[in-house]
Amino acid sequence: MRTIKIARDYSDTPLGRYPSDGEYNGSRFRDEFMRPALEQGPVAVDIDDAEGYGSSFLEEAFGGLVRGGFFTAEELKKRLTIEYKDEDFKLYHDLIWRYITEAKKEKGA
Amino acid sequence: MDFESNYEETAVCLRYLRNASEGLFAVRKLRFDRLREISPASALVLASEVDRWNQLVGGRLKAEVHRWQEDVKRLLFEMGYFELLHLPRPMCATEQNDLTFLKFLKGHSGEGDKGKLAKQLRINIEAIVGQRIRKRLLFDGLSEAITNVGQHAYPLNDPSSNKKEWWLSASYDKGSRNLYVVFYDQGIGIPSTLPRSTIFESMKEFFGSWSDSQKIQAAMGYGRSSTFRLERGKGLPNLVEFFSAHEDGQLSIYSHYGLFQMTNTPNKPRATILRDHKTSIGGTLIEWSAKL
Repeated sequence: MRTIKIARDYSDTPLGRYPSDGEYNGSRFRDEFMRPALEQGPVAVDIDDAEGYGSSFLEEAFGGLVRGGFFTAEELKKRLTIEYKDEDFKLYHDLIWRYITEAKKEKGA
Repeated sequence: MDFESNYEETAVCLRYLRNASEGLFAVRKLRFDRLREISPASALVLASEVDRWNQLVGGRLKAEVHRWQEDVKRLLFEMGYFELLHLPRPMCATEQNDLTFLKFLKGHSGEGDKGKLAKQLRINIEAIVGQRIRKRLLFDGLSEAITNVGQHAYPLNDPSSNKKEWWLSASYDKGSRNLYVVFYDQGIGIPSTLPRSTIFESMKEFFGSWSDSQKIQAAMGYGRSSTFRLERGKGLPNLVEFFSAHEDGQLSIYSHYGLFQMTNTPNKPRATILRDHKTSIGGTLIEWSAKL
């Protein structure tokens, strides 16, 4: 299983949804890290040690996997693990799964 | 000048300055000698308006600082008003008190690493507090406020949209352990960017019975945004999280004519206030306060 630690491998200050929001945005993380890794097999994402995560980043990075038609929520439940040790990060763990579960595949995706 | 206790008079003064910077009439001098009090939030908006005047009209607004009330002068001095506006710093009698200020900061959402910026703002705020705060929630709130300025506050057809500017200040009262963080942008306001998601809302809008405060409240609802897209609009509730984490705290969002305010008081249910005013605040002002 491949592990991606967001604070180490991407940014400890991820922010926003699109490139216009900043370099370390959610759509870039989804397309350059999450999609390639998930296509290879199971992935563990370690969310510890970041400054925090705004909702825009989390929704685009994780909910966007379903909306874009890359994976279904059921596939992600089998392939994706969200890990944290710091209890402060439980909030983000729960938000990620909420966004995955609520996301709907877009028409044409 | 205080939005909480004297909204209309405060907003009218600031609107006057906005109109002057837009060329509706000329202003040469700011007369603050009759100003008895100024709150940190209204001082931030005032600084942003003078800043706008400097950019659009040019030159410097004259101010007879020696005639200002000492308390007003000291507060503006400690908040960094004179540095922000590149004005000569007046002599100010320092006073030992419990209040520490984070000097006015100005930024724009157009470029740069906003994540690093939001982190630095969090560090700056933590420095005046002198103790650990709920830093992740504060980062989330600040980062979403900055993101919202970039995405929604300044429409593309607005001549000032290329700047996408915002202003921030914070203060901490060691005696009462109250932290205040104030964030302001001069954009078109949350009510102007909220779509009508139901026929009922469209009808209320048509008949003018959907107030700005109700629109802000609707925007705070999960999944509402200016884009009609379900996945958008999850950022505004981020603003609630920091204040929600404290049992004694308040979140006030003034946008256009409306005020949406939530208050947590120990051992009491959360109180929500909606209020509408006659004068627009000229953008969006977000004020967090929490007893640490």
